[in-house]
Amino acid sequence: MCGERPVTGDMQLAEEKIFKVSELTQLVKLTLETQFASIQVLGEASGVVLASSGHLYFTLKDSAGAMKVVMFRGNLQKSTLNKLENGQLIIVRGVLSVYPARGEMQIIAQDMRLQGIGDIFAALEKLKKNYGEKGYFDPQRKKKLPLLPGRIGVITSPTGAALRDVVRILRRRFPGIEIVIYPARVQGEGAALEIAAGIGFFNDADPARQVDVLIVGRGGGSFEDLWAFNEEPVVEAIFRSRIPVISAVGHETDFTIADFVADLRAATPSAAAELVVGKKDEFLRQIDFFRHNCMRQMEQRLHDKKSAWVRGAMDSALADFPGRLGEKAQQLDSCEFSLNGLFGQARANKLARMNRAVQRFSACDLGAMLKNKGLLVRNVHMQIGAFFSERLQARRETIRMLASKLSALNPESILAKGYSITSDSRRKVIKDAAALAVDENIDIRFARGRVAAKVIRSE
Amino acid sequence: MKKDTLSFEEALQKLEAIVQKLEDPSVPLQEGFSLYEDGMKLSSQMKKELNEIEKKVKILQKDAKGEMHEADFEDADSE
Repeated sequence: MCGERPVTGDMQLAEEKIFKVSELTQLVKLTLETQFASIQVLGEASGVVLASSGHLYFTLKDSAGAMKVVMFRGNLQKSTLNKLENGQLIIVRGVLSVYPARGEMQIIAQDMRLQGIGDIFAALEKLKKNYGEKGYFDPQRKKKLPLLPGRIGVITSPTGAALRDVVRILRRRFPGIEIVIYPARVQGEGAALEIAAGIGFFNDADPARQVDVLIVGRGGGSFEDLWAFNEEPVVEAIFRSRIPVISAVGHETDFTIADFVADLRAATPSAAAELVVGKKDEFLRQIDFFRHNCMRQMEQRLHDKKSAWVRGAMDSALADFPGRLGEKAQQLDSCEFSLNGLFGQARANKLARMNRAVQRFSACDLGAMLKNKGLLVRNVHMQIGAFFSERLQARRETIRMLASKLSALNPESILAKGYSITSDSRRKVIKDAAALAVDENIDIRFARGRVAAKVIRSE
Repeated sequence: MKKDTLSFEEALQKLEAIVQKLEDPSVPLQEGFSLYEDGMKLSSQMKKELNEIEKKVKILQKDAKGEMHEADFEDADSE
């Protein structure tokens, strides 16, 4: 057999077929993407370029090899490491592919992270476990933050954005609040000792110059950059601090040992500034709320007291009333009720006026109120007092008049006018002379004393 | 830390307690008046204190002997 050999396999295909370039690159691309669909590659980043499109291009290399890497914008945003610098030793995870236009092999990266980070994480977990077991994170030893700190201490880099954010936010929330900054390096060799020294400095300060709360932190950075806040000097200093400490390290997603041991963890330095002191306006509003309640309660009390005074006046008026008119008291009660009815209208009018006064009073500008303090309320109080004593006087007069009318009806007061009561031997009051016989014994009762007598004649 | 006077927090708690007492009908009116006066006085003092706070931002600086001293801190966006 001669001529064309049948195509029976890849080898033959590769030997015989004449590819177009684009066909071959496509084929290689497909093959690589299938065979190396998910690989991890360790290397040092070089030639890092962030294109205006947002895609990241660099070369991953080691001592003997190099490979192009592209990380598209979407993946870069989600990447564990999203800011790459030349010289960083990283692990790239992605798919091996070919850029057909140049026939160049490249890795299309899905994620990248710093090499060795796993070790650091393990170390951090170990530290966390150790300090946790020693009770450094116990909730019951967390100190309470003052509601309104007189002085706030800030320990951070004097040049960092974190400090500017903290100062700006504190000033905005509470103009004029006192801030004392302790400048400290926050990364690199010796940073932990400087931060710890700052915490110690504020704790040892002369009482007059002491701060009420400390913010210790820095802005965002790599995991290594934040490492000082995991170191023993910082952790111990925060643990021993008598002054409450707020930790404010990096971004929301960053956690350090300092965060766990601190009395309060703020997600960022800006968040710390917002946690440390309330807004001045809100403090003022709260005070005004209580002031308003004070006034409202006083109004209510005055209102209630008026009714109580009326009842009290009634009771004392009745107590003056002669006891022996007891059986007439009921009659008097009904007088009292009708009197109340008459009086009710006047009272309602006065009340309405009072309430209007009180409403004006509470609507008053609080600043102006300050000047008058309780005087205004005391005036209202006096007005009510005067009103009631006037009313009470009038009522007493009425009651006295009624009492004298009632007493005129009493048989004993009739006797006082010179009349007398005659009864027979059976003590029956005699109303008709015909009921008596001559010589019958009778009893005559006068206003004072009584006599026994005998009927001489009947007419 | 102020030692001789009430802290703001204590003052606020006291003010709240005054309001609570005023809300209690069993407290006699006479006492109510003095509570009211106390409340008004305390709250105006607190407002005054809040409004009078006018402090600077200080930065600590080391002198030649290594001792810390406070100096005014100025930055670009100070108001």
